Amino acid sequence: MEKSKAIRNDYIFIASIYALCIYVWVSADQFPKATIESGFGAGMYPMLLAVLMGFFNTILLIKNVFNSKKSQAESEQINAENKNTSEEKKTFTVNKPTGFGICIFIYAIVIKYIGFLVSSFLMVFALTQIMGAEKKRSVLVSLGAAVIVYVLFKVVLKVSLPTGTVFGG
Amino acid sequence: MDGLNLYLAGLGNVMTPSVILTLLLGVVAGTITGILPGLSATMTVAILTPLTFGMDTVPAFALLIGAYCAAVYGGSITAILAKIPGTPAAVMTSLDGYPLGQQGKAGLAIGTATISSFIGGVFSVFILAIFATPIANYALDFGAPEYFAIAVFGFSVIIYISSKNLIKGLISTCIGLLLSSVGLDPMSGFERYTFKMFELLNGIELLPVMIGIFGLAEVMNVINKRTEDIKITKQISRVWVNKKEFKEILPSIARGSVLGTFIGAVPAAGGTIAAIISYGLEKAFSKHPERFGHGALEGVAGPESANNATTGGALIPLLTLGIPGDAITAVLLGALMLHGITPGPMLFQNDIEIVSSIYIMMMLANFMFLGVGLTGAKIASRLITTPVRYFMPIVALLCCVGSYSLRNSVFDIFVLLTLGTIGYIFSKIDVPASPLILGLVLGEIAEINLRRALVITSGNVIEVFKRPITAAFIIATLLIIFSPVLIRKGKAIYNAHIEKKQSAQAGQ
Repeated sequence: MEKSKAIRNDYIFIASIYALCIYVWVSADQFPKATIESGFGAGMYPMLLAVLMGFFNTILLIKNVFNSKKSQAESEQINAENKNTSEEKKTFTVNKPTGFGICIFIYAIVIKYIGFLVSSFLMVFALTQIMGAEKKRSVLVSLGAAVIVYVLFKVVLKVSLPTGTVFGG
Repeated sequence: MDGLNLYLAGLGNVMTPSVILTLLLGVVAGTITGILPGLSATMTVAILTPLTFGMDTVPAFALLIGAYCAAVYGGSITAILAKIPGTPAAVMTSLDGYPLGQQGKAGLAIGTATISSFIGGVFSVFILAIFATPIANYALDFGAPEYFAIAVFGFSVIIYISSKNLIKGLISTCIGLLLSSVGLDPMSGFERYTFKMFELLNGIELLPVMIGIFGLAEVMNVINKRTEDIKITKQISRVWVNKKEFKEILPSIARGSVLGTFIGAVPAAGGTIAAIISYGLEKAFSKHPERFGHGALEGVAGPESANNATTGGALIPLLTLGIPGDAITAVLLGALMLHGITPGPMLFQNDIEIVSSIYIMMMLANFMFLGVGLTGAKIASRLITTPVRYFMPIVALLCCVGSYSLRNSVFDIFVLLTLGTIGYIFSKIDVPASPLILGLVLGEIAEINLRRALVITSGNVIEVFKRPITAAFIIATLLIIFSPVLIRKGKAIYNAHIEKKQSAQAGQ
């Protein structure tokens, strides 16, 4: 099962790379035409890379086709064995990395409005909660982290951190 | 500037309280992150880079170099106490270090690892100081075609960082090269792939990409793993190595130091490979190979001196030619460029004081981690059990602030998140993400020099590759990249030949 999943993932990767190659080629073709003075045009280099990437992708595709043929027989056997076992219940759960990604996305949006200190405290608190930490300790750790990082960057390193429009700090 | 004056100038730059303190901070930070499982040396340097923005060049590199040298060493402590290599380069140390800990000799193993790492590191700095200037002087005559070839040669490191899947590594490199083409075309000024966003006019900033790939993606990987209780050796006996033990391990340290420096200087190798080869070498040289795996001191001394010797070795191609030897030196290259320093032969002409300061700081960093390691082993053992659930959110915050602080732009947090997610997805589907950074770092150098070379030769590609140095670099790159395939084919042909010979003999 794991092997067939890996092969399926590889096919998705290969398809995405082909799509990227086509996009790069088509858009680079619309760049100003090549002259010797312009070092053969702005599009030459991306087009060269698109060809190179397409070539490597084709090798990967061929390798994958051979691998999938090999594993097909194995997975058919495993599927036959698993047919009678109970089906897994599909439940929607947000895994930790997705949770981290969503939190950072929201952080990047709200930091301008509620400022560095508040948004950083909230983000670290949310992340520790995703990690299953105890609430009281999480509050302390989040507060400590936000303040220490603020002092380090704003006071010591003189980095201008967003103050926010809602709380003004 | 002659040799002695050069080092005196470097010494003058380094011997100030602020630089020494920053170097010590880097060493402590590097040792701690090296000890913490899940935080790599590369991640440490990437996350520390934003802290250097407000600093002058010398203190900035004091922090990064201190962290670089110490993080490679710090991984050994976790390998000895918990059988988990704190960094990949410490993988071989756990084989004999952990059994030593189980025998109540954890202190001795840490002492051996510290002294071996120190000697390996110091030796490699000497070699760096001896060989870097002549190589840089030779490279002064290089033109655009040679620089293009050198950039391509830099890609041979892919073979080391994509050991699992070379083709995927090459595709990852191409993606990095494509990312480097975003922004204004360096020759015609035309906008490429900016999607009308002014933040992309100067291209994609390297720092959020580095922190995304080596920082955030690593955080996502670590939190996704089930945290098991780490059983660590808490009893740490004497850390100091006595005269007899030192005599016993000295040949291993000497072999490891030479091997590590050489391997570090080859762009397709790195600390992990150096440690693995050194371990094999020590076992082959040992009068008691049966002791290996059960607590042989040489099994700790050899790999530890070798992996730390790669630190100086890897700086030879980095400083002289601008080629990163491994993922961590690719990050160091990015950091140098962020500070307006372009490694390569011109660095030895224009900023020679910076170069000599780097040598001296590396030397001092080795002395500092010797002190930190020998005196702080007991504190270190407590750090291994730092709860991931509190630590990783703080690292994620540092990743965000670090990316933001480069140009005070929220846009760079989105770049961090995008690249972090790509890095995480890549790790799930076995696509190495480090080559992407390599592509991004070397992409602009490769493009601009290729196009300049084509202008010089009026578009004649053959003329570019006909130049002897260019041809030599390109051939060397191809040989290194395809060496595993060539070795496999060679072995198959040899085995077929032997089988044929044997069947012919049997027929007679």
